[in-house]
Amino acid sequence: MKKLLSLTLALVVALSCAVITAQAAVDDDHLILQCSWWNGEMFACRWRNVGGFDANLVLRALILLKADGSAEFDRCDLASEYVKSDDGLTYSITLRDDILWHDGTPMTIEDVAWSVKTFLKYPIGYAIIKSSFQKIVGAEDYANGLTDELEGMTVEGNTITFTLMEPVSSFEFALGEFKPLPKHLLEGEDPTAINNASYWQQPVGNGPFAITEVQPGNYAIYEYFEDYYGAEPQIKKIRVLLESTAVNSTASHAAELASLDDLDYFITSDLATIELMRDYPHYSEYVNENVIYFRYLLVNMVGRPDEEYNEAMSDIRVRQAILYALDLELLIEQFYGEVASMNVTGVASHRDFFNSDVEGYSYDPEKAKELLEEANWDYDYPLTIITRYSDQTTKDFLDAVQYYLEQVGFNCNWYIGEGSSQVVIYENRDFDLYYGAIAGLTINETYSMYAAGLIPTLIGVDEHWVDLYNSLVVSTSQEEWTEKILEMQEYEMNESLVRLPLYTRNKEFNYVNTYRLTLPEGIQFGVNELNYDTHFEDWVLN
Amino acid sequence: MLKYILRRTLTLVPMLLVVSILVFIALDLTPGDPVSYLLSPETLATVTVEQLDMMRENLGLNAPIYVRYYRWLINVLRGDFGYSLTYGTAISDMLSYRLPATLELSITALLLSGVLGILLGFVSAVRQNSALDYINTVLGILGVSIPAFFVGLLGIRIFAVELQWLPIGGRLVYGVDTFWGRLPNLIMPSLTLAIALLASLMRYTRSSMIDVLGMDYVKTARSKGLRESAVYLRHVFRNALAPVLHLLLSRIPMLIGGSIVIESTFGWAGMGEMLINGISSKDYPVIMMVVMATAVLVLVASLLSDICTAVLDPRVRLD
Repeated sequence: MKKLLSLTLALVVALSCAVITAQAAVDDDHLILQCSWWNGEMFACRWRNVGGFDANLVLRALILLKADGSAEFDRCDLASEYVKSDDGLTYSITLRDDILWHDGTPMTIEDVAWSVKTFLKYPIGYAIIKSSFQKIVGAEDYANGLTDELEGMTVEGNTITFTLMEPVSSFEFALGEFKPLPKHLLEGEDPTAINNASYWQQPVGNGPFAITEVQPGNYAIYEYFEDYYGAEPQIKKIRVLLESTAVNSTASHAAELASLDDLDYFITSDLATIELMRDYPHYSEYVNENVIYFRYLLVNMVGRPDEEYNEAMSDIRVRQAILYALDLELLIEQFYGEVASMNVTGVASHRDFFNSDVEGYSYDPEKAKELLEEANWDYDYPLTIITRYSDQTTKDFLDAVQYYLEQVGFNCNWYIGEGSSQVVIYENRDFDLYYGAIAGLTINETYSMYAAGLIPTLIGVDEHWVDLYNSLVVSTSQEEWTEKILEMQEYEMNESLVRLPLYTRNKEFNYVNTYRLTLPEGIQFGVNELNYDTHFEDWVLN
Repeated sequence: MLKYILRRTLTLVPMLLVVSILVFIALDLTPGDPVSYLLSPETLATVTVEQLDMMRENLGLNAPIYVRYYRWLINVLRGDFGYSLTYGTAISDMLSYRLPATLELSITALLLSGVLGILLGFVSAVRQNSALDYINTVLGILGVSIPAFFVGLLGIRIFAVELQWLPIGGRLVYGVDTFWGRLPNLIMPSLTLAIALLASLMRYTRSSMIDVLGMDYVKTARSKGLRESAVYLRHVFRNALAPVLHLLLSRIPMLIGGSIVIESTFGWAGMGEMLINGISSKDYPVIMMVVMATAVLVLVASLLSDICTAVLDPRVRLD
């Protein structure tokens, strides 16, 4: 018996040693990243989710944009030449003739043409690209199947020319973010459901890296594509990890960070992670302040289904009182710290085109009470806030908002709207305020919701907003655009006040493991989703 | 025996049909839809009602429940398991790499719990009322009391974060193709899954052996002059094993069901994780196929358990 036990114990110890030493050594010849566009089963369709650092290494766009958040043209990428007419009505792009898809098929101008036409029929394409491309002459007829050809798009040789119905300030941005896809692999797919094509299980791209291995639920491998038309990177292989593998959301933060030594570069806006990263000095921190993630309270002006309109919220003084009642500076500092800043208007205060003449609504509970008295507010009325977010920070934030509103006399409650968005938000509409967010790469996007989507549904169609937004979109110069955006902020806060601005999460933190990775001097990081030049050819594994 | 097996196999069909109907109805009654999962709240700001409706129409979600069930059933009978509404991947593809992952985890947990549970129970019975027996008793109680996911998180904290002996999670390791090379990834999840069953087996083995130790034939064996080891191994253990194995095999369904939480904790890309993701997004084709696959595994395990019991104990007749 004793011999048996001793033998068993020795076997277990030997096995353990063997197991521990059998662990795979860290492979030093490849970069390890957190994946931005893969859920473990499929890579996200680039026409719906435009960007991501590693995604832009696989699929490229016609031009690159500046990293500074201006959304302006930086240089050509797939294009060899790019010409924009002075009146902003014509855009000509000449495609390079040395581009190959990762399966060896040459990329042609037909891929671009087919992609644009198919995108017009794809219902949930990225909003700002969709609204820009819809300004191409004949786009609406083509999208609705009334014509077989897109009148405003012509192809001559390797050059494609877009003619617009009117100037569109975001068209250049759209060209920089739109990723043409391989026609020969996707032309048989239903355009309305192209995101479900099997292509997305292992997309064939045209960038410096091809996806060579996919282990569902675990990792994927990108390897340098030898026939890439651009500068050859020094790093030849990348392993991308799923978020659940790299930063395990079910484990403690400490556990998450233990695995971060596997990550050579990652991006985060999570305050807890940022604070903890300060304990890891070998990770360099690069901050980008051009993120547009704007949170607001949207007023349900049309009311519940059995109402003609929401009488309780119809008085602007009530809406003003809500803003006066909230100590937003304190709330944001408590819950979001350095990653967010309070909004006075829909534009973050640090941006060049913030309208500083707009007074805003600073914390003033006495003023809030005064306004409610003037508006003859019914203090028994149950002011209801709904949200679709279920994270703990949101819950804590809304608890705090509820507290502040109650201090001035509101009978406030909030809840998480679960189930179908269509039913909860559009059909039932059992709320007075909707706590939501809009994320974008340009300010145009934060105001696009006044023209289509949630706002027209919840406030009714406001022709003035539609006119304002359309005039913003067709601006032909920076001065004209700035004038319009200033006007919109004034109207938004002084007359409309249906979208109550709260804060913008405007910072992204890029972390680089300096033990493993050296970046080029003076590198400027743009927003993760932005298609800008990362100078990846100069990134070096130590 | 063959008639019995055939009869049990045939009863699988109506049972699976009933399970499928009940699950489908239950899914329909729960709030949410895949479209809401596909569109983030930020995207919702600029999507129109018409676009939402078009997405629902494209995914076939506007059809009545009986039409959707009928389509699903006919496709399954044709061998077409359908596509995930949220991922777009063929469910048969998803099952082809996730089912082996779940089986790997469950079988490893079964073997670990079986070997260690029986071994520790044997030792406890042999060394009754010793320090080792008391330690095993305490560990056994802890094993059945503490939830598996908590044990998993504790294991991650100690062995992965603090000691860095084992990886935090994941199943596959880049550059490692062999099972042996991936073993470090398997240790914590399988042990975590095995703990509850291991504790039960340990206690049950101990009790079963103590019962047999009191039998007359054991006294006879001793009085015949047999060595203690021979008494324990040839007479006590063999007779105590039958009910223990029955317990082991009857708990296989629990292992398969319990893997859901463990897979999520350790990022183990198996059917459990697939099911959780499917439930979050109300991806009903995925949920239906995982539930059906699990039901088949459970029913087959139950049948195997009955057969093994009959083989081990000649007194048991299957009819």
